Amino acid sequence: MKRSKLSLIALIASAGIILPAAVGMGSPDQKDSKPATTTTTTDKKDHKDHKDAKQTEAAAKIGSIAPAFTLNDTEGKTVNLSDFAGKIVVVTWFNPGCPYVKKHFENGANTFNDLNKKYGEKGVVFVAINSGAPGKEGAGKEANNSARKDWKIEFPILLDESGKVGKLYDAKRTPEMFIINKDGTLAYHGAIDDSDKTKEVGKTNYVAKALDEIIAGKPVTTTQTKPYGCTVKYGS
Amino acid sequence: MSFSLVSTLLAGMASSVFGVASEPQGAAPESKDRPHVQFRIISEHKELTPGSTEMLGLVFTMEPHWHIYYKGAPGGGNPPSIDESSLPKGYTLGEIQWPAPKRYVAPGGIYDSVYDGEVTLLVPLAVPTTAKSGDAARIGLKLSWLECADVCVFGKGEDSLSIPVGAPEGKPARSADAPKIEKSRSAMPQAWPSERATADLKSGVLTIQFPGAERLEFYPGEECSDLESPDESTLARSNTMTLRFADANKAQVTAHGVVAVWMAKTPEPAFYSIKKTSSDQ
Repeated sequence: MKRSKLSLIALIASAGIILPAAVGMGSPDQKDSKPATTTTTTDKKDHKDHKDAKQTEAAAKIGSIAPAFTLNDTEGKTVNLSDFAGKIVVVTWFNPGCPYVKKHFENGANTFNDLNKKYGEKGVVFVAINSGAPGKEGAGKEANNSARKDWKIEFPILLDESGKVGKLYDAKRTPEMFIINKDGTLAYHGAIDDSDKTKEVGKTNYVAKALDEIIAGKPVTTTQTKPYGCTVKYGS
Repeated sequence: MSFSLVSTLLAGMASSVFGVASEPQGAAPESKDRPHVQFRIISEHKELTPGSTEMLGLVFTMEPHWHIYYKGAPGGGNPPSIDESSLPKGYTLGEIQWPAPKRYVAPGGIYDSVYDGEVTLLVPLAVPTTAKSGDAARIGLKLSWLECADVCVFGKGEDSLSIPVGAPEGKPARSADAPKIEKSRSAMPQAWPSERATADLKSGVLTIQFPGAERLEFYPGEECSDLESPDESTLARSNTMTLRFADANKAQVTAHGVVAVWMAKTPEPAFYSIKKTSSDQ
Protein backbone atom coordinates (compact mmCIF):
# COMPACT_ATOMS: atom_id res chain seq x y z
CA MET A 1 0.00 0.00 0.00
CA LYS A 2 2.75 2.36 1.00
CA ARG A 3 4.61 1.50 -2.16
CA SER A 4 1.63 2.20 -4.36
CA LYS A 5 1.17 5.59 -2.69
CA LEU A 6 4.76 6.44 -3.43
CA SER A 7 4.37 5.45 -7.07
CA LEU A 8 1.28 7.60 -7.23
CA ILE A 9 3.17 10.57 -5.87
CA ALA A 10 6.02 9.90 -8.28
CA LEU A 11 3.60 9.82 -11.20
CA ILE A 12 1.96 13.04 -10.16
CA ALA A 13 5.36 14.57 -9.60
CA SER A 14 6.45 13.80 -13.14
CA ALA A 15 3.14 15.05 -14.50
CA GLY A 16 3.62 18.16 -12.42
CA ILE A 17 6.68 19.16 -14.43
CA ILE A 18 4.51 19.81 -17.46
CA LEU A 19 1.27 20.86 -15.84
CA PRO A 20 2.33 23.95 -13.89
CA ALA A 21 3.86 25.62 -16.92
CA ALA A 22 0.66 25.05 -18.81
CA VAL A 23 -1.58 26.65 -16.22
CA GLY A 24 0.81 29.34 -15.07
CA MET A 25 1.01 27.89 -11.61
CA GLY A 26 3.70 29.11 -9.30
CA SER A 27 5.30 27.33 -6.43
CA PRO A 28 6.56 29.25 -3.45
CA ASP A 29 10.24 29.90 -3.56
CA GLN A 30 12.40 31.36 -0.87
CA LYS A 31 14.49 33.24 -3.38
CA ASP A 32 11.81 34.44 -5.76
CA SER A 33 8.94 36.57 -4.72
CA LYS A 34 6.78 35.66 -7.70
CA PRO A 35 5.56 32.43 -9.25
CA ALA A 36 8.41 30.84 -11.11
CA THR A 37 6.61 30.67 -14.42
CA THR A 38 6.09 34.42 -14.59
CA THR A 39 9.03 36.34 -15.96
CA THR A 40 10.24 39.36 -14.04
CA THR A 41 9.68 41.72 -16.94
CA THR A 42 6.05 40.75 -17.47
CA ASP A 43 5.59 40.82 -13.80
CA LYS A 44 6.78 44.36 -13.34
CA LYS A 45 4.76 45.57 -16.28
CA ASP A 46 1.58 43.96 -15.00
CA HIS A 47 2.10 45.37 -11.62
CA LYS A 48 2.72 48.81 -13.00
CA ASP A 49 -0.48 48.56 -15.00
CA HIS A 50 -2.27 47.60 -11.83
CA LYS A 51 -0.86 50.62 -10.01
CA ASP A 52 -1.64 52.91 -12.95
CA ALA A 53 -5.19 51.68 -13.02
CA LYS A 54 -5.43 52.48 -9.35
CA GLN A 55 -4.19 56.00 -9.95
CA THR A 56 -6.28 56.88 -12.97
CA GLU A 57 -9.50 55.25 -11.83
CA ALA A 58 -10.30 55.58 -8.16
CA ALA A 59 -9.90 52.28 -6.31
CA ALA A 60 -12.54 50.93 -3.97
CA LYS A 61 -12.39 52.67 -0.59
CA ILE A 62 -14.93 52.82 2.22
CA GLY A 63 -16.93 56.07 2.00
CA SER A 64 -15.74 56.85 -1.54
CA ILE A 65 -17.64 56.32 -4.78
CA ALA A 66 -17.28 52.66 -5.79
CA PRO A 67 -15.42 52.12 -9.08
CA ALA A 68 -17.68 51.92 -12.14
CA PHE A 69 -17.75 48.70 -14.13
CA THR A 70 -19.30 47.28 -17.28
CA LEU A 71 -19.17 43.49 -17.67
CA ASN A 72 -21.08 40.77 -19.46
CA ASP A 73 -22.99 38.19 -17.50
CA THR A 74 -23.02 34.47 -18.31
CA GLU A 75 -25.95 34.99 -20.69
CA GLY A 76 -24.04 37.62 -22.64
CA LYS A 77 -26.03 40.53 -21.23
CA THR A 78 -24.06 43.68 -20.48
CA VAL A 79 -24.34 44.88 -16.91
CA ASN A 80 -23.24 48.32 -15.86
CA LEU A 81 -22.94 49.38 -12.22
CA SER A 82 -24.72 52.60 -13.19
CA ASP A 83 -27.78 50.49 -14.16
CA PHE A 84 -28.41 50.24 -10.43
CA ALA A 85 -28.02 53.93 -9.59
CA GLY A 86 -30.00 54.80 -6.46
CA LYS A 87 -30.09 51.19 -5.25
CA ILE A 88 -28.04 49.30 -2.68
CA VAL A 89 -25.79 46.86 -4.57
CA VAL A 90 -24.10 43.81 -3.04
CA VAL A 91 -21.14 42.48 -5.04
CA THR A 92 -19.49 39.16 -4.25
CA TRP A 93 -16.32 37.88 -5.87
CA PHE A 94 -17.12 34.40 -7.05
CA ASN A 95 -15.54 31.12 -8.16
CA PRO A 96 -17.78 28.04 -8.27
CA GLY A 97 -14.73 25.78 -7.87
CA CYS A 98 -13.60 27.37 -4.61
CA PRO A 99 -14.51 25.28 -1.55
CA TYR A 100 -15.22 28.45 0.47
CA VAL A 101 -17.82 29.46 -2.09
CA LYS A 102 -19.19 25.93 -2.29
CA LYS A 103 -19.74 25.73 1.44
CA HIS A 104 -22.32 28.50 1.11
CA PHE A 105 -24.32 26.50 -1.44
CA GLU A 106 -23.95 22.92 -0.24
CA ASN A 107 -24.75 20.75 2.81
CA GLY A 108 -27.90 22.69 3.56
CA ALA A 109 -26.28 26.12 3.34
CA ASN A 110 -27.77 28.65 0.92
CA THR A 111 -26.19 31.89 2.16
CA PHE A 112 -25.99 33.89 -1.08
CA ASN A 113 -29.37 32.82 -2.43
CA ASP A 114 -31.00 33.55 0.94
CA LEU A 115 -29.41 37.01 1.06
CA ASN A 116 -30.52 37.69 -2.52
CA LYS A 117 -34.08 36.60 -1.75
CA LYS A 118 -34.43 38.38 1.57
CA TYR A 119 -32.85 41.69 0.60
CA GLY A 120 -33.94 41.55 -3.05
CA GLU A 121 -37.48 42.01 -1.76
CA LYS A 122 -36.28 45.21 -0.13
CA GLY A 123 -34.82 46.53 -3.40
CA VAL A 124 -31.21 45.42 -2.88
CA VAL A 125 -29.39 44.28 -6.05
CA PHE A 126 -27.07 41.28 -5.81
CA VAL A 127 -24.35 40.51 -8.39
CA ALA A 128 -21.41 38.12 -8.46
CA ILE A 129 -18.18 38.84 -10.33
CA ASN A 130 -15.77 36.10 -11.40
CA SER A 131 -12.30 37.49 -12.18
CA GLY A 132 -10.83 34.09 -13.02
CA ALA A 133 -8.69 34.17 -16.15
CA PRO A 134 -9.54 31.83 -19.06
CA GLY A 135 -8.50 28.27 -18.20
CA LYS A 136 -8.35 28.88 -14.47
CA GLU A 137 -10.49 27.07 -11.92
CA GLY A 138 -14.15 28.07 -12.09
CA ALA A 139 -13.59 30.63 -14.86
CA GLY A 140 -15.68 31.21 -17.96
CA LYS A 141 -19.25 31.17 -19.15
CA GLU A 142 -19.79 27.41 -19.00
CA ALA A 143 -18.61 26.76 -15.43
CA ASN A 144 -20.57 29.72 -14.10
CA ASN A 145 -23.71 28.89 -16.02
CA SER A 146 -23.56 25.37 -14.58
CA ALA A 147 -23.14 26.82 -11.10
CA ARG A 148 -26.17 29.06 -11.60
CA LYS A 149 -28.19 26.06 -12.65
CA ASP A 150 -26.89 23.59 -10.06
CA TRP A 151 -27.12 26.02 -7.16
CA LYS A 152 -30.34 27.72 -8.38
CA ILE A 153 -28.65 31.12 -8.41
CA GLU A 154 -30.96 33.89 -9.58
CA PHE A 155 -28.48 36.78 -9.45
CA PRO A 156 -26.18 37.41 -12.42
CA ILE A 157 -22.58 36.23 -12.48
CA LEU A 158 -20.47 38.79 -14.33
CA LEU A 159 -17.33 37.62 -16.10
CA ASP A 160 -14.19 39.71 -15.61
CA GLU A 161 -11.67 37.47 -17.34
CA SER A 162 -9.09 40.25 -17.72
CA GLY A 163 -9.24 40.80 -13.95
CA LYS A 164 -9.48 44.55 -14.45
CA VAL A 165 -12.54 45.09 -12.26
CA GLY A 166 -11.23 42.72 -9.60
CA LYS A 167 -7.99 44.66 -9.35
CA LEU A 168 -9.83 47.96 -9.29
CA TYR A 169 -11.76 46.71 -6.27
CA ASP A 170 -8.60 45.03 -4.93
CA ALA A 171 -10.56 41.79 -4.60
CA LYS A 172 -8.24 39.02 -3.43
CA ARG A 173 -10.46 36.19 -2.20
CA THR A 174 -13.58 34.27 -3.06
CA PRO A 175 -15.98 35.02 -1.56
CA GLU A 176 -15.10 38.69 -0.94
CA MET A 177 -17.98 41.06 -0.35
CA PHE A 178 -18.63 44.70 -1.23
CA ILE A 179 -21.76 46.73 -0.42
CA ILE A 180 -22.36 49.85 -2.46
CA ASN A 181 -24.82 52.28 -0.88
CA LYS A 182 -27.66 54.10 -2.68
CA ASP A 183 -25.40 57.13 -3.19
CA GLY A 184 -22.79 54.97 -4.92
CA THR A 185 -20.32 54.99 -2.03
CA LEU A 186 -18.71 51.84 -0.68
CA ALA A 187 -20.33 50.92 2.64
CA TYR A 188 -18.75 47.54 3.40
CA HIS A 189 -15.78 45.50 2.25
CA GLY A 190 -14.76 42.14 3.64
CA ALA A 191 -15.84 38.64 4.54
CA ILE A 192 -19.34 37.22 4.11
CA ASP A 193 -19.41 36.04 7.72
CA ASP A 194 -17.34 35.27 10.77
CA SER A 195 -16.44 31.65 10.04
CA ASP A 196 -13.42 30.80 7.95
CA LYS A 197 -13.95 27.15 8.89
CA THR A 198 -14.11 24.59 6.13
CA LYS A 199 -17.65 23.43 6.71
CA GLU A 200 -19.66 25.67 8.95
CA VAL A 201 -21.29 28.91 7.94
CA GLY A 202 -20.69 31.79 10.34
CA LYS A 203 -23.10 32.91 13.05
CA THR A 204 -22.74 36.58 12.15
CA ASN A 205 -23.31 37.44 8.50
CA TYR A 206 -21.55 40.80 8.10
CA VAL A 207 -23.38 41.58 4.86
CA ALA A 208 -26.83 40.99 6.36
CA LYS A 209 -25.86 43.06 9.40
CA ALA A 210 -24.64 45.97 7.27
CA LEU A 211 -27.70 45.78 4.99
CA ASP A 212 -30.05 45.83 8.00
CA GLU A 213 -28.29 48.93 9.27
CA ILE A 214 -28.33 50.71 5.90
CA ILE A 215 -32.02 49.92 5.34
CA ALA A 216 -32.84 51.17 8.86
CA GLY A 217 -31.03 54.42 8.04
CA LYS A 218 -28.29 53.73 10.58
CA PRO A 219 -24.54 53.99 10.03
CA VAL A 220 -22.78 50.68 9.28
CA THR A 221 -20.95 49.62 12.44
CA THR A 222 -18.58 47.11 10.81
CA THR A 223 -17.38 48.56 7.51
CA GLN A 224 -14.36 46.33 7.03
CA THR A 225 -13.48 42.75 7.92
CA LYS A 226 -10.79 40.42 6.70
CA PRO A 227 -12.12 38.41 3.77
CA TYR A 228 -11.38 34.69 3.91
CA GLY A 229 -11.33 32.23 1.06
CA CYS A 230 -9.44 31.08 -2.00
CA THR A 231 -7.34 33.51 -3.98
CA VAL A 232 -9.07 35.11 -6.95
CA LYS A 233 -7.70 33.19 -9.95
CA TYR A 234 -6.24 36.15 -11.83
CA GLY A 235 -4.27 35.49 -14.99
CA SER A 236 -1.41 37.76 -13.97
CA MET B 1 -30.03 -13.95 -14.79
CA SER B 2 -27.63 -16.35 -13.14
CA PHE B 3 -25.23 -15.97 -16.05
CA SER B 4 -25.20 -12.22 -15.71
CA LEU B 5 -24.70 -12.54 -11.95
CA VAL B 6 -21.75 -14.88 -12.48
CA SER B 7 -20.26 -12.67 -15.15
CA THR B 8 -20.67 -9.66 -12.87
CA LEU B 9 -18.93 -11.55 -10.09
CA LEU B 10 -16.17 -12.66 -12.42
CA ALA B 11 -15.78 -9.19 -13.80
CA GLY B 12 -15.59 -7.89 -10.24
CA MET B 13 -12.95 -10.45 -9.31
CA ALA B 14 -10.99 -9.79 -12.46
CA SER B 15 -11.04 -6.07 -11.95
CA SER B 16 -9.99 -6.42 -8.32
CA VAL B 17 -7.10 -8.68 -9.27
CA PHE B 18 -6.21 -6.33 -12.08
CA GLY B 19 -6.50 -3.45 -9.66
CA VAL B 20 -4.01 -4.98 -7.24
CA ALA B 21 -1.58 -6.01 -9.95
CA SER B 22 -1.53 -2.66 -11.62
CA GLU B 23 -2.00 -0.28 -8.74
CA PRO B 24 0.59 2.24 -9.86
CA GLN B 25 -1.22 2.57 -13.19
CA GLY B 26 -4.34 3.41 -11.27
CA ALA B 27 -2.89 6.82 -10.42
CA ALA B 28 -5.68 9.34 -10.81
CA PRO B 29 -5.11 12.33 -13.05
CA GLU B 30 -4.79 15.74 -11.33
CA SER B 31 -8.01 15.65 -9.39
CA LYS B 32 -9.51 17.92 -6.83
CA ASP B 33 -11.21 14.98 -5.18
CA ARG B 34 -8.05 13.22 -4.15
CA PRO B 35 -5.82 14.24 -1.25
CA HIS B 36 -2.58 15.96 -2.23
CA VAL B 37 -1.29 16.31 1.30
CA GLN B 38 -0.52 13.42 3.67
CA PHE B 39 -0.45 13.84 7.44
CA ARG B 40 1.12 11.73 10.20
CA ILE B 41 2.10 12.06 13.86
CA ILE B 42 5.67 11.59 15.08
CA SER B 43 7.31 11.83 18.49
CA GLU B 44 10.77 13.06 19.40
CA HIS B 45 11.60 10.12 21.68
CA LYS B 46 11.03 6.40 21.53
CA GLU B 47 9.48 6.45 25.02
CA LEU B 48 7.50 8.91 27.11
CA THR B 49 8.81 10.01 30.50
CA PRO B 50 6.18 10.41 33.26
CA GLY B 51 5.93 14.00 34.49
CA SER B 52 7.72 15.44 31.44
CA THR B 53 6.68 17.06 28.18
CA GLU B 54 7.21 15.10 24.99
CA MET B 55 7.37 16.95 21.68
CA LEU B 56 5.07 15.57 19.02
CA GLY B 57 5.29 16.53 15.37
CA LEU B 58 2.47 16.82 12.86
CA VAL B 59 4.18 16.02 9.58
CA PHE B 60 2.52 17.25 6.38
CA THR B 61 3.92 15.86 3.15
CA MET B 62 2.73 17.72 0.08
CA GLU B 63 2.83 16.78 -3.56
CA PRO B 64 4.84 19.13 -5.75
CA HIS B 65 3.10 22.51 -6.30
CA TRP B 66 0.65 22.01 -3.44
CA HIS B 67 0.83 24.06 -0.27
CA ILE B 68 -0.92 24.51 3.05
CA TYR B 69 -1.27 27.72 5.04
CA TYR B 70 0.56 29.32 7.94
CA LYS B 71 -1.69 30.45 10.77
CA GLY B 72 -0.98 34.10 9.98
CA ALA B 73 -1.67 33.88 6.25
CA PRO B 74 -3.41 37.16 5.42
CA GLY B 75 -6.60 35.78 3.92
CA GLY B 76 -5.71 32.31 3.05
CA GLY B 77 -7.74 29.69 4.24
CA ASN B 78 -7.55 27.34 7.04
CA PRO B 79 -4.16 26.52 8.41
CA PRO B 80 -4.19 23.01 9.90
CA SER B 81 -6.32 22.69 13.02
CA ILE B 82 -6.82 19.81 15.42
CA ASP B 83 -10.53 19.03 15.26
CA GLU B 84 -10.53 16.00 17.54
CA SER B 85 -7.99 14.43 19.81
CA SER B 86 -8.05 11.18 21.71
CA LEU B 87 -5.54 10.96 24.54
CA PRO B 88 -5.13 8.68 27.53
CA LYS B 89 -6.49 10.08 30.81
CA GLY B 90 -4.28 12.78 32.34
CA TYR B 91 -2.40 13.58 29.11
CA THR B 92 -2.82 17.07 27.63
CA LEU B 93 -1.80 18.65 24.34
CA GLY B 94 -0.41 22.18 24.19
CA GLU B 95 -0.83 24.75 21.44
CA ILE B 96 0.54 24.10 17.95
CA GLN B 97 3.95 25.72 17.44
CA TRP B 98 4.42 27.05 13.90
CA PRO B 99 7.81 27.13 12.19
CA ALA B 100 8.50 30.07 9.89
CA PRO B 101 6.57 29.73 6.61
CA LYS B 102 7.49 30.73 3.05
CA ARG B 103 6.16 33.64 1.03
CA TYR B 104 3.79 32.83 -1.80
CA VAL B 105 2.52 35.37 -4.29
CA ALA B 106 -0.35 34.23 -6.49
CA PRO B 107 -1.10 35.93 -9.84
CA GLY B 108 -2.65 39.33 -9.21
CA GLY B 109 -0.13 40.05 -6.46
CA ILE B 110 -2.05 38.15 -3.77
CA TYR B 111 0.24 37.39 -0.86
CA ASP B 112 0.04 34.40 1.49
CA SER B 113 2.39 32.66 3.90
CA VAL B 114 2.52 28.94 3.21
CA TYR B 115 4.34 25.64 3.68
CA ASP B 116 5.27 23.38 0.78
CA GLY B 117 7.23 20.15 0.36
CA GLU B 118 7.22 18.92 3.93
CA VAL B 119 6.60 20.71 7.19
CA THR B 120 6.44 19.56 10.79
CA LEU B 121 4.23 21.53 13.16
CA LEU B 122 5.12 20.93 16.79
CA VAL B 123 2.68 20.10 19.58
CA PRO B 124 3.85 19.52 23.16
CA LEU B 125 2.30 16.57 24.96
CA ALA B 126 2.26 16.77 28.76
CA VAL B 127 2.75 13.29 30.20
CA PRO B 128 1.19 12.90 33.68
CA THR B 129 3.35 11.81 36.61
CA THR B 130 0.84 8.98 37.03
CA ALA B 131 1.74 7.49 33.62
CA LYS B 132 2.74 3.88 34.26
CA SER B 133 6.02 2.56 32.97
CA GLY B 134 5.40 -0.32 30.59
CA ASP B 135 2.04 1.03 29.39
CA ALA B 136 1.65 2.53 25.95
CA ALA B 137 -0.06 5.86 25.34
CA ARG B 138 -2.16 6.05 22.18
CA ILE B 139 -2.41 9.54 20.71
CA GLY B 140 -5.13 9.91 18.08
CA LEU B 141 -5.70 13.15 16.17
CA LYS B 142 -8.09 14.34 13.48
CA LEU B 143 -7.03 17.42 11.55
CA SER B 144 -8.43 19.59 8.78
CA TRP B 145 -6.80 22.21 6.59
CA LEU B 146 -6.98 23.92 3.21
CA GLU B 147 -4.60 22.65 0.54
CA CYS B 148 -4.03 24.58 -2.66
CA ALA B 149 -2.08 24.44 -5.89
CA ASP B 150 -3.70 26.53 -8.60
CA VAL B 151 -6.94 25.17 -7.17
CA CYS B 152 -7.92 24.69 -3.53
CA VAL B 153 -9.39 21.70 -1.71
CA PHE B 154 -10.35 21.16 1.91
CA GLY B 155 -8.01 18.50 3.24
CA LYS B 156 -8.38 16.29 6.27
CA GLY B 157 -6.49 13.50 7.88
CA GLU B 158 -6.28 11.34 10.94
CA ASP B 159 -3.48 9.36 12.46
CA SER B 160 -2.63 7.72 15.72
CA LEU B 161 0.61 6.86 17.40
CA SER B 162 1.25 4.52 20.33
CA ILE B 163 4.26 5.45 22.41
CA PRO B 164 5.51 3.23 25.26
CA VAL B 165 5.89 4.85 28.69
CA GLY B 166 9.42 4.56 30.08
CA ALA B 167 10.87 5.01 33.55
CA PRO B 168 10.03 8.18 35.56
CA GLU B 169 13.63 9.43 35.55
CA GLY B 170 14.46 7.85 32.22
CA LYS B 171 16.43 9.38 29.39
CA PRO B 172 14.68 7.78 26.40
CA ALA B 173 16.45 7.43 23.08
CA ARG B 174 15.50 9.77 20.26
CA SER B 175 13.16 8.36 17.66
CA ALA B 176 14.05 7.93 14.00
CA ASP B 177 11.79 10.93 13.28
CA ALA B 178 13.55 13.23 15.78
CA PRO B 179 15.49 15.09 13.03
CA LYS B 180 12.19 16.36 11.59
CA ILE B 181 11.31 17.84 14.99
CA GLU B 182 14.80 19.30 15.31
CA LYS B 183 14.52 20.90 11.86
CA SER B 184 11.19 22.46 12.76
CA ARG B 185 12.57 23.76 16.07
CA SER B 186 15.38 25.53 14.24
CA ALA B 187 12.75 27.38 12.18
CA MET B 188 10.86 28.64 15.25
CA PRO B 189 11.12 32.41 15.65
CA GLN B 190 13.37 33.74 18.41
CA ALA B 191 12.94 36.91 20.47
CA TRP B 192 13.73 40.10 18.54
CA PRO B 193 17.48 40.87 18.95
CA SER B 194 17.07 44.50 20.00
CA GLU B 195 20.79 44.78 20.77
CA ARG B 196 21.69 44.54 17.09
CA ALA B 197 18.57 45.43 15.11
CA THR B 198 15.74 47.97 15.25
CA ALA B 199 12.03 47.74 14.51
CA ASP B 200 10.21 51.06 14.80
CA LEU B 201 6.49 51.56 14.37
CA LYS B 202 5.61 55.19 13.70
CA SER B 203 2.55 56.70 12.01
CA GLY B 204 1.43 53.36 10.63
CA VAL B 205 4.83 52.46 9.17
CA LEU B 206 7.07 49.70 10.53
CA THR B 207 10.74 50.19 9.68
CA ILE B 208 13.04 47.24 10.26
CA GLN B 209 16.79 47.77 10.13
CA PHE B 210 19.06 44.78 10.48
CA PRO B 211 22.74 45.72 10.01
CA GLY B 212 24.65 43.06 8.09
CA ALA B 213 21.56 41.50 6.51
CA GLU B 214 21.24 41.19 2.74
CA ARG B 215 17.67 39.93 2.58
CA LEU B 216 14.65 40.33 4.86
CA GLU B 217 11.23 38.76 4.64
CA PHE B 218 8.18 39.40 6.82
CA TYR B 219 5.43 36.86 7.43
CA PRO B 220 2.38 38.56 8.97
CA GLY B 221 1.05 36.97 12.13
CA GLU B 222 -2.55 36.41 13.18
CA GLU B 223 -2.90 39.75 14.90
CA CYS B 224 -1.16 41.80 12.22
CA SER B 225 -3.08 44.76 10.78
CA ASP B 226 -3.51 44.77 6.99
CA LEU B 227 -0.39 45.73 5.07
CA GLU B 228 -0.29 47.80 1.91
CA SER B 229 0.98 45.77 -1.07
CA PRO B 230 2.26 42.86 1.04
CA ASP B 231 3.33 41.08 -2.16
CA GLU B 232 6.11 43.65 -2.55
CA SER B 233 6.65 45.18 0.87
CA THR B 234 7.28 41.94 2.77
CA LEU B 235 10.48 41.26 0.83
CA ALA B 236 13.60 43.47 0.99
CA ARG B 237 16.86 42.65 -0.76
CA SER B 238 18.74 44.82 1.69
CA ASN B 239 19.08 45.34 5.44
CA THR B 240 16.06 47.65 5.64
CA MET B 241 12.37 46.87 5.28
CA THR B 242 9.51 49.37 5.28
CA LEU B 243 6.04 48.03 5.94
CA ARG B 244 3.06 50.37 5.55
CA PHE B 245 -0.21 49.46 7.19
CA ALA B 246 -3.37 49.90 5.18
CA ASP B 247 -5.35 51.28 8.10
CA ALA B 248 -2.68 53.71 9.24
CA ASN B 249 -5.32 56.36 9.82
CA LYS B 250 -6.90 54.24 12.51
CA ALA B 251 -6.01 54.77 16.13
CA GLN B 252 -4.22 51.49 16.59
CA VAL B 253 -2.05 49.44 14.31
CA THR B 254 -0.53 46.09 15.28
CA ALA B 255 2.66 44.90 13.64
CA HIS B 256 2.81 41.19 14.38
CA GLY B 257 4.73 38.48 12.62
CA VAL B 258 8.01 36.80 11.91
CA VAL B 259 11.05 38.40 10.27
CA ALA B 260 13.40 36.12 8.33
CA VAL B 261 16.92 37.48 8.17
CA TRP B 262 19.59 36.35 5.71
CA MET B 263 22.93 37.69 6.85
CA ALA B 264 25.51 38.27 4.12
CA LYS B 265 27.20 35.04 3.04
CA THR B 266 24.85 32.90 5.15
CA PRO B 267 22.60 30.51 3.21
CA GLU B 268 20.09 29.83 5.98
CA PRO B 269 17.95 32.58 7.47
CA ALA B 270 17.37 33.24 11.16
CA PHE B 271 13.81 33.94 12.34
CA TYR B 272 12.68 36.56 14.85
CA SER B 273 9.26 37.52 16.23
CA ILE B 274 7.93 41.04 16.19
CA LYS B 275 4.88 42.34 18.00
CA LYS B 276 4.28 46.06 18.35
CA THR B 277 1.21 48.22 18.53
CA SER B 278 1.09 51.90 17.64
CA SER B 279 0.35 52.74 21.28
CA ASP B 280 3.88 51.47 22.11
CA GLN B 281 5.17 54.75 20.72
